[in-house]
Parts: sequence; C-alpha cells; structure tokens
Amino acid sequence: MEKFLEKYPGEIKELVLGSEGKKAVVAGQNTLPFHSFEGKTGQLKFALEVSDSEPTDWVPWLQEFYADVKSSPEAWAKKNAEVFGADLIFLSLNSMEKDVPAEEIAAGVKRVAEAVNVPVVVFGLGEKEKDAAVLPVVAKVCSGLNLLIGPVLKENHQEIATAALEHGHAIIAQISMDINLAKDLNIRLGKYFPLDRVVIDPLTCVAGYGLDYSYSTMERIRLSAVVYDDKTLQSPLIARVGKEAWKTKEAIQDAGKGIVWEAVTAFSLLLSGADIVTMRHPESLQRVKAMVS
Amino acid sequence: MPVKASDIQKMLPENGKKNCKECGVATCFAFAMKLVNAGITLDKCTYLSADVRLQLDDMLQPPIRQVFIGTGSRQVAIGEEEVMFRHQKTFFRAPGMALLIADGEDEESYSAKIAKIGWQFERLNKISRFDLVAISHTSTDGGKYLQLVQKVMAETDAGLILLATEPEVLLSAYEASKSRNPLVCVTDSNYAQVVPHLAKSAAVCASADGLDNLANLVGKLKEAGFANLVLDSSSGSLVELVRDQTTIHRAALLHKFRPFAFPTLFLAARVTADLEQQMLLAVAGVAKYAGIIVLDDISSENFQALLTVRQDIYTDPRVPPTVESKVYGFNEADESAAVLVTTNFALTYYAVAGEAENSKLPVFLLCQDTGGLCVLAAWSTGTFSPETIAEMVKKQAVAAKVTHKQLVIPGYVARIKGDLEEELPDWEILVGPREAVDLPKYLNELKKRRENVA
Repeated sequence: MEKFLEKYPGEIKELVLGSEGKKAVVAGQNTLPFHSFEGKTGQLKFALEVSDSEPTDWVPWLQEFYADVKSSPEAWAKKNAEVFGADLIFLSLNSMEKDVPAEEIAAGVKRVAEAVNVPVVVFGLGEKEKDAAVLPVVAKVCSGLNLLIGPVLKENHQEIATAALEHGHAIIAQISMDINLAKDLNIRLGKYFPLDRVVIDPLTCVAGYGLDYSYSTMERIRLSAVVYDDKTLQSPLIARVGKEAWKTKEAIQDAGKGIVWEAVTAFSLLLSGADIVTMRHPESLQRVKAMVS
Repeated sequence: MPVKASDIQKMLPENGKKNCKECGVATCFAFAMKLVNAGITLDKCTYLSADVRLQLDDMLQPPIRQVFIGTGSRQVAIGEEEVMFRHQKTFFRAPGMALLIADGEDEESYSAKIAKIGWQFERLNKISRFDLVAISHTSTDGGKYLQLVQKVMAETDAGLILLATEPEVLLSAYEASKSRNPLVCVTDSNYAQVVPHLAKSAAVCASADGLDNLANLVGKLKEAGFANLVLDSSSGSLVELVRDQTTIHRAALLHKFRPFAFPTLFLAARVTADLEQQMLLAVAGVAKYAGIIVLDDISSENFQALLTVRQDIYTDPRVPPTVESKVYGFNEADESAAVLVTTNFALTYYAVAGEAENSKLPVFLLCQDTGGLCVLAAWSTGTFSPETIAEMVKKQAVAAKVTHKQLVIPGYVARIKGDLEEELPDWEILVGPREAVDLPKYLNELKKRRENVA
C-alpha cells in the first residue's frame, strides 16, 4: 500500500510561544492533519478561555462553573492551566468594552501571563480602532513575554503587528472565511513580519451553524500550504470554538449539549487543519484531547 | 475521474478498429463513447471474449461503486463519491449510522437500543436517525442470535448488518433476513463456509486485518462474482482510521485501484469501548470518507451533534444554503413583537435568529427568498429590494400579527428606507444594525423607545 502514500513539499514551521520556562510549541508539520503515516504531524494545542473582566454574556452554566474564579483573571487562568490541563490561556480583553485605560488592561494581561506556567493568547474585541489603540500597549507592557496577540485585521495590521514585532510577540491574522483574504493579509504582513510567527484565524462557525464553511476554509488553506507549497499560507491555524459554541441554541438550552457542541466542533476543525483550538469548558477540552493524544 | 472512451476502444475487437456496425453504432469509438456515458450495454458487441468483457465491465464501473443495503424507504445508498475534499465538488452520500446490538446483552439493553432506533431529529427540514442496525454474536447460543435478528426485523424496518462470525449462525440469520437485503460480514476465516451460500447479489462486507489482507479478500469475492461489496480494514485507532480511509479513497479515486472501488465500514468498538470517544471517532469517520459507521451506543445529545456534523460535511458547497422563506417567531412572539426582515441565506438566518433569541424579547423575523444570497449581494442583484420586501410583508399578512407598524431593515440596506416607505405607506421603516451581534442591544432600545411613546 506504500504506493498510495504521498510526500508533500510544504511545511508549517514550529511556532514557539511563551517566555523562558513556560514555552509551548505549536504546529511543525509537513503533512496533512493526522497523517502521521506519511509525514510529520504538527503539535496541537488546546486553550481555555479567560475573560479579563467578569463575563456577563456567558451562559449561566459557565458562570456557575467558574463562580470561584471568574472575578479574578489570574486565579481563573491558573485554574485553567493547573487543574483543567489547558496548554494555553486564551485571554479575552472584555474590559475594553468598558473603555478601561489601555495601560490598566495591559497591566492585567501581564499579571495573568506571570501567574500561569503556560503561554497566553491575548484577544481584543475585533473592533479595528479600539484594538489598534489597546493591543500595541499590551505588546509594549508585556515586552518579551512572547504572547500570541490578535486579532490583526487588514485595516489595523500596521499598528498592532509593528508593536508585536518590536516586543517579541506572535500575532493572529484574522480574515473572514476566505482563503484569498487570508493570502492577501499574509502577503501584506509578510513584508515586515515573519509569517511563521503569524497564526491565521479564518473565523469559526460551529456544528449546525455553518461548520462546513469553517471546515472547508481551513482545509483549503492547509492544502495550499502543505500540498501546493504556498509560502504565503504556511502559518498555523486557530479555531476559536468556545465563544461560538456557547452561544448556540443548544448550549443555551442545556450545559451537556454545550459541551458536546464544543467538542464536536473543535474536533472537526482539528481534522480540517486547526493547530490551536480555544474552548470554554474543560470537559469538552479533555474529551477531544484524549481523542487526539 | 471517469474512464476515457479511447481506453475502452483499445479493448474492442481488432484494437477497436473492426467497425462492424453490428451493435448499431457507426464505429467502435462511437460504441466506446456510448459505453462511457452508459448509453449502451456491453452485450451489444458479440465479439468480446469473456475475459475482456469482465475487464471492460470493471473499467466502466464508477471509481467507487454505489452499494445499497436494506429495502424500501429505509434503504441506505453509500459510495459513488468523486472527490477527496468536499470543496472540490461535494460529498454525495452521507455515511449510514448503525447502532450495534449484541445477542449477549440483556433484554433491558435490547429494548433501550431498539427504542433508540426510533429516535428522529430534524434540522433544516431534514429528518435524521439511525439508518442501520448491526447485530453481533457475543453469546454462546446461536439460536439467540437468530432470535435477536428476528426481533429487530419485527420492530424496525431499518437495514441490517450481520456481524456474527460463526458460519452456521451467520447463515441462518442471513436466510431469515435476506428478503431485507442485509449487509453480511465475511472474513478470511469464515469465507469458505459462508460465501458459497450467499446470493451473488448479496451486499457483502469484507472484513480483514489491514489493507493488504483486505485487498486480497476483495479479490476473492470479486472473482466469486460478488459486486456489492463494502470494505472494513479493522482500523484500531484514530490515525489508523484516517490512514485506512484516506488510502482506500485515494487508491480508488486517484489510482483506479479496483479492489478498493467500494464504500467502507468503520466499527468504532475496535478502537475503544468509551462511548464519548466512539462519538468523536464517528465524527472523524464522517469527515474522512467512511460509508457506514457502527457505534456500540450513544446518548441523545451526542447523536444529535454527530448527525449535525454529518449534515454540515455533506452539505453541497456549490449551492448556497437557504432556509425556508417565511415568518419565524422567537421568544414567544406575540402582537408586541419587533418585526425584522432579512434574506433567506442560511448563515444570515442563523446569525440573526441566534441574536434574536439572545435578546430575550419577542421577535418576528421575515426571511425573504433571495435564492440564498446575503443582504448586500441580494440588494445589488435586485432580489432584496423595496418591492420584494413589501410583497413579502403583504403576502405574509404581517400587519395582522402585530399591533404596531414598525419594520426593521438590515443596516446594510439603509439606503432603501425611503423607497420602502413608499411601497409600505402604513409602515414606519427603521434601520437596524449592520451586524447581527448588535441586535440584542438594538431591540432593547427599540422596546424602551416604544414604552416611552406609550
């Protein structure tokens, strides 16, 4: 059956996140997802989400689940990493919605990054002006902590990526479910930012709510990078599953369904090419992690 | 990749240059063309040796044969896929989901599982359920196996998969159920005792340890005259599942390796007894080409999620997904409900419907038929215009559903407000947010505004 196996020309380089003593390696593959029978597969990382201000829009089950820690981002992050086995902390900067000063937000990020023994992903609101104002300050205050910072959009990449580069962080390039938009933004970034320090976020739709779009977008990006050796797309991929899964009708109805929806979506997207998945419930994280390890 | 007419022609009499016209076609090449397009049958050429005829017959089969299991309205069709990745065209035939019942289980467990075969879940106007029942022989009593098969046949018309390996046990169940066109699983060790007793038209699953053994077993079955085959390579882990399914699919589609030109079966129990893990393995099977997925058991919420993923992966990416064009109500919509209008593009609908629900306020959502185009695309092509919106509002008698006369349009088409007011002079047209995520806030403000006026 050897004759049916394939070798591919492209590779996704390893991306190292985190500061000394708390590093994690993402990706590093030269084959398709789970194709360890014909090449080297990349390292998959599971992130649990923490909100930097007490979340108000999370479903009641999650609020109850994190009741003991949700008012302290550091305690919450520590519990996610140490008790629940998160490989990364995904820190949502929800305090930006309340227009907290950027310096204060950045100091909070630093406290979280220093409190945990795993790398931190820092994520803004996705509003181009606010993110462009706050994320560079986070990059500066957390200089050298080797965070993964995003989202970086076509409209604000200069401000955020330049600061991330200067202070030694990796970035998340966000586009809307289209391989050509991903290519376009990476080409722009590639002029001044190393593409192996860029993670692509093509947006995530969950099971029953457009998963097929996310699935095929990720699959196409990964095929272009690995099979067709498109250098502009040789970046790891992130699927932000938690937020989307926990706002579905199913998750609002029932905590158990939320866990299942989060798990099947995360696993489907790992099969299509995601290297990092972000989740909100440790139960779904553990189920998927047990499956892939 | 379909077979080329020129390759067929070369195998016809005198290298395809006989051109005797006895088949009723002007030339051998024209005959070959017709064969490729299934416009004529091989027996019209009387000069083919039995050997060549078999070879041609094989070449004319699709890269992956379509196999049917079961009968009537519950018949399951699998196979005849064309691409490695869904965006290259589409995946056509969703894998059949099978629930496993063992004759070693007790009565209570039987009944619980038979009840699960009756489960039905609806999503996007499509009903999904277990397609098949797989029956394994774990007791020491062959009679018990036959009884279980008969019980399942009496209680459901779902298709059957016979997994017993002992020849006498398997054959007696086959005899009892063959009118229902079951899938009969055959291995190297029971081949000699079982296969001679099966009808050549039977659906047969070749189960072997690994791909090489599987190819050999399929070769034997094909030689014995069986054509309705299903392949089971006994994958024992997630990576083996991906490896085996990918190799079989690739060999059939890209290398025309005929022993693998059949749909596959994946038995999750070979990997693990953990039901949570079995469900995730089934997700991998859905994504990676499995034709039938057999599960030991599953909870209701896991099954719904699995069926939902299956529906997503087998959605045709060439057709924009739509929802029915009608008025949807949320949060017990009554005569005070806000009235929103948008397109029937499914992703627009999901986004708006989700946020309408999140607002916790009563809402009527009008999804106007735009052929599945999103708001801006539909506006620019004229399928979402003041005229079409007004027509929908009138046709659906929206005015009778609510006591107010306020219609909220998507922020992206703010420019049509004036024209729409002319089309619907009784209505006040309000411009809503551009993004669905801003709806809850908007709807709450709208409610407050209305209360203040009152």
